[in-house]
Amino acid sequence: MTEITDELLMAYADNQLESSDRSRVEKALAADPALREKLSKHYLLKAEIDLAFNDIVDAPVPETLTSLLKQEPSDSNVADLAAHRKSKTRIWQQPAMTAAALAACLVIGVFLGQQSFLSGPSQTGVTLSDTLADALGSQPALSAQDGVTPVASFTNSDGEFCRRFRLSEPAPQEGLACRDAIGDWSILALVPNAEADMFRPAGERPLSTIDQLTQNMVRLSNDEEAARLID
Amino acid sequence: MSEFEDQIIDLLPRLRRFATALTGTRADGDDLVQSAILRALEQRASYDSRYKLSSWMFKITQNLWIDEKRKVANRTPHVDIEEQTLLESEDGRITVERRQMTERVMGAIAGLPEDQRLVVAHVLVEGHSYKDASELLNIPIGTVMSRLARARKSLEQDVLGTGGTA
Repeated sequence: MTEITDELLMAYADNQLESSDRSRVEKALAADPALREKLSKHYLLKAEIDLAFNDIVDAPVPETLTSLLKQEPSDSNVADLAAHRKSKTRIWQQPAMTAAALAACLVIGVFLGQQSFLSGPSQTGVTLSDTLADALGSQPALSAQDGVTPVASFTNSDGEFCRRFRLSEPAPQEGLACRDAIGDWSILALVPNAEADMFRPAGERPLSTIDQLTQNMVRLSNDEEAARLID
Repeated sequence: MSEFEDQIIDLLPRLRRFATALTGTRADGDDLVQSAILRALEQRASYDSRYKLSSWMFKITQNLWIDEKRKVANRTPHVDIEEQTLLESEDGRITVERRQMTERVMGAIAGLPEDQRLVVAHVLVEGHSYKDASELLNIPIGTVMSRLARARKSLEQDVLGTGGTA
């Protein structure tokens, strides 16, 4: 009797064999109860996996996903896409960033009230005051103006220009904002400076919210930053 | 609405299932699918219609996850995967037992090494052929099979509670 390897038996269970191999396996199965037992485990596992995952396929797809694909007909111009993202998905775009993003939301929620640079919460997040938007769009890193100091510049996975910045008023805070294709800034995080300092990456201490968010971004050099600034 | 978007909408249930198998939870799976949709819309010009859109979408999803895993592996301390695999109980009709088993299956898959998890998601969860999985993952069929055989052994042990066949 020919040897039936684990891989051959598995391929039989997965229906991946040519007919000559199939009949070889079937002959062996007929003669070998232990092999039949192994095969039944393969089938059982497959059945459990199907059961575990199949209600995802049957469940309605969340509108947050379908709405991305149900725009008015357009030649998929960038502004449309950016505007859409801004309204629906701003903070949730990065996979595996859920916890950090959630933390960022909470932080914004908590500190929003005292924030004079923000023109107020809207349904979709936080809109920047003109002062802050202008500063982020035009000031090179580490130049302070009107209480705003950009600290570093990045691009996110969507190629948007993002800046880490410090605010001195009304209380020292550190934030991260990104500018979309139509020029609007969105704040991804705003935390008191104390927290930003406390959680500086060191040893096993957790990263700050902003550190976590910038992990998925590409740091820009001074020249790259300058190319993105508006005069 | 164009055909391109319609076709992706039709793929979403399967992409969600695939992404959940990779990430371990529905919520993270949906985040991954969302990133994949955005990436697809951005890169639609690079889509070659001689190939199946489903293959292209699975590949985008898989690659985003691989990139993400690398970043996390490089930059953060080890995170216990078990803690991330709790399934939210969004469907009241599912019995407690069924849900426990579902968590067990998803937890077992989430506990596999990354390369095995990808093969399991393609073949056992999505039902892709070995050949399709080998093309999507850009690895030889023999590698698909050896990874799958190893993954099956751990999964059968974890899910079916058997002593394994090794």
